[in-house]
Amino acid sequence: MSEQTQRSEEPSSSSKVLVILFWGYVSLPLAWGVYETSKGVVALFTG
Amino acid sequence: MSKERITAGPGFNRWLIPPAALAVHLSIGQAYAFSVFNEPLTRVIGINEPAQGDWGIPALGWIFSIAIVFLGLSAAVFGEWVEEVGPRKTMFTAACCWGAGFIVSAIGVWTHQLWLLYFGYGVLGGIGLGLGYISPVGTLIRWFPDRRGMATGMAIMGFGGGALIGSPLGVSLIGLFETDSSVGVAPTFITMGVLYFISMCLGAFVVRVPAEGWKPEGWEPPPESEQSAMITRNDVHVRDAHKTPQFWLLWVILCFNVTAGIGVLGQASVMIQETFGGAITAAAAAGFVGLLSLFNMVGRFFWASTSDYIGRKMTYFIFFGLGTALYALVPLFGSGLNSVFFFVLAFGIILSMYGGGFATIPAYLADIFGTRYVGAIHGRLLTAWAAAGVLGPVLVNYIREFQLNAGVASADAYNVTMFIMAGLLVIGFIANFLVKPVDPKFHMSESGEEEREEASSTSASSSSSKPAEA
Repeated sequence: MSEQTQRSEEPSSSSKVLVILFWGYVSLPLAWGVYETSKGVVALFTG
Repeated sequence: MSKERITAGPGFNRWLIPPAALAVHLSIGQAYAFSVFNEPLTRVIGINEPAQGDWGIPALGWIFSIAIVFLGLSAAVFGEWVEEVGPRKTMFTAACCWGAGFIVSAIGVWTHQLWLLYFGYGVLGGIGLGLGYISPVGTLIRWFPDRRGMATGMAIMGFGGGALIGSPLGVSLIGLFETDSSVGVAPTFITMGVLYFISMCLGAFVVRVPAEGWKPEGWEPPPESEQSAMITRNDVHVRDAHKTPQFWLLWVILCFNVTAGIGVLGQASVMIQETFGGAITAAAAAGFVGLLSLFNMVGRFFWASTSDYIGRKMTYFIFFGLGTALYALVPLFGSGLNSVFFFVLAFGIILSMYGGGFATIPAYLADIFGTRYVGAIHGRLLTAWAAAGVLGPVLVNYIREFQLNAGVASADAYNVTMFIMAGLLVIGFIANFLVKPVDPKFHMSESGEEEREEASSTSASSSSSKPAEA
């Protein structure tokens, strides 16, 4: 019984996929924003 | 959507909560990029250049200011409601306010009614900002009792990162929608309002609260004898928090840490150009502002995560100690050594600690006041942000003007301000030193809580029965 409870508390493989998808959903726009900002930062060091 | 219906079942992956919080914070973080709309909004009538009847920059500047004021007010006023109804309803309400704020503002641009922008982006959007900002904080702390700082740092990093997305997105959309007869701001507002609404709703529908007594697998709270005395196992009610000296010490800590950074952020472009004369072009100065934004964002995650290992109090000692030294050295790096590298590096570190101050404060509050009402207490503490939003720019701008009028060279115009900022950080250091555990008389007990609830329900029933009695 306790083994069954413990197993059910482990994240399912579908939830792992959901985690990866949702992290990708927020990371991609953030990476784009960082890239766009970094292009401007280059001007600080190149004049 | 109620709190009871979003309790996570067994097998729920807690790593879904940070991106849900990020979806909200990345959306509302756009507020820091509102300035990209200012210039196009000055030529809504004239299209190519400002014409008679067009809005001026000072009038448009109020839109952002109103939004920040309503952020602080709504976070303070609705904090208790946020704890009561849970994160999903709060995030959805924030999404409605934030999205509607953009739509009402678009109508304001179309009809050229400035008050609609004040009401839309300022009031409605500001309420969305406040609710969205505090909505995931308590939930994250409860899901990550083992790493409170890292969890809230990730979410609050999103608020810094939101500007990095919002700025190029706004510029790109204006470029896409502008025509010979339109500056393109109204359709940009509509598009962003819809995009942000959808994104925040996704966060709202993913978020869950942990079941009562839930703990991460394999994690046990350290024994009380081994745990720092600065981390309480008790809870303080939100209505009692402001009666403790700890609340006001943390208020001063947040206010002065933010004051020191926010004034620099607003004036960074002009400041670096004036300090180094013609050596820094406008494009390079814009790059400096961008670099500070990156340090601000990364600092939120880095410092909040670090605080899990070295403790919140030590983290703020570093902010105030290192910050004081760096502010005092800036005049030497600038007009003294004429070193752009050290000047930029000093402000980069200062801005990382500015962001870190925002991101670490929820975990500090949870350590001091417990996790039960941490979201609501955090909401009330954010009034320090509103105060700093006025104090910081005033200190930087007015002292600069005073110095220039007194005949000080523009390269040295910020030196006095830097020493004043260093002084503020010394006060912050002392306030942090004075933070001690809360007096046990403020701790909630199960019976005390019941008494409180009983008292509030009695007063509610007596007030609701008054009309009938009358």
